[in-house]
Amino acid sequence: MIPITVLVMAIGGVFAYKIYTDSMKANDTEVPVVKTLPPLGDTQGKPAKGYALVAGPASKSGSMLVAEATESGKIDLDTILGEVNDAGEAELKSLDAVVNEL
Amino acid sequence: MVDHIVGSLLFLLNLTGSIRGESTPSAVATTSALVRQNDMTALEKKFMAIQLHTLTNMEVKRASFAASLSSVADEKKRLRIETVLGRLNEINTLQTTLFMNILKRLQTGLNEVQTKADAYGKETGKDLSKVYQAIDLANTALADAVTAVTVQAEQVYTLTVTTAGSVRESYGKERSKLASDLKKVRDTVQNARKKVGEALKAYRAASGKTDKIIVPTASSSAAQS
Repeated sequence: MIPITVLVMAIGGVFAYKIYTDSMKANDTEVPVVKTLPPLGDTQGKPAKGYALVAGPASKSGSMLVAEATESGKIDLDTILGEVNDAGEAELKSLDAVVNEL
Repeated sequence: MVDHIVGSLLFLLNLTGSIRGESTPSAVATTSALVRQNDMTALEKKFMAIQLHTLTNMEVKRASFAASLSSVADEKKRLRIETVLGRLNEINTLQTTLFMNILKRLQTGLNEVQTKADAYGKETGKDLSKVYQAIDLANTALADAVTAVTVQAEQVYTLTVTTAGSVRESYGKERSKLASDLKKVRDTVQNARKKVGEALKAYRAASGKTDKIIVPTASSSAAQS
């Protein structure tokens, strides 16, 4: 009698374990997983430098947008009309710094 | 100096036939046929020829300037002074080239506005005289700006170093002159920009269209031609 009870319990345990693991697998797919990208290493083991492709929206700087517009070979007239020019003032200021060191 | 004056005179004589200035008495165009577009390709060629001539002048002046730096004993300092002078003129070259490129794009955009106005006028038969007036005024402003940029491209800036201490003083004067000259030219470019904007606004007001006017950049238009 006892061996039969043990056998039934063992079989029941196996089924219970299977149902439990199946339910855990279902939970895995429902929970969003945050993945951390490993650093980009090189052969000499130096600190990684560079960029990795990641999913999601990327912000673009003004210079990137200008470069993109130039690369595409076309630019909107409204953009040209809105451009601002400092008449070389920034370059002259950097030259001032050189002269001050003379 | 004489070379400079003769160059300026030749330039002005050469351009009076094709460029219209503010002083030109103009009956403002009211139809597309009366709008006088600027020949930007020819104007750019003249600009580039003058810029090349100025570069040659600059090299001659730089050589004589280097010889006049004997009062500065330190060789490193001499080289740095020469670099400063070169950089002053380089800023002028870069800025005038930049202005010329802006004007070219504005002219292309303005021509595109005229093309669109022509098509709209043909399609609807509406009176677009105000649009053509604005386009004509913008062409005049562009021509004036091209003249100002070309004259500026001819300028050569130089330093006078009599003692080691006089470098800063001489630089200060030339730097102020260059900054003031470039700001004046920038203002004429800005005025041209404003007039092109007004022409675009007039076209949009008359047609009710708000579509973008696409202008090819310098590289793509060079590839096309």
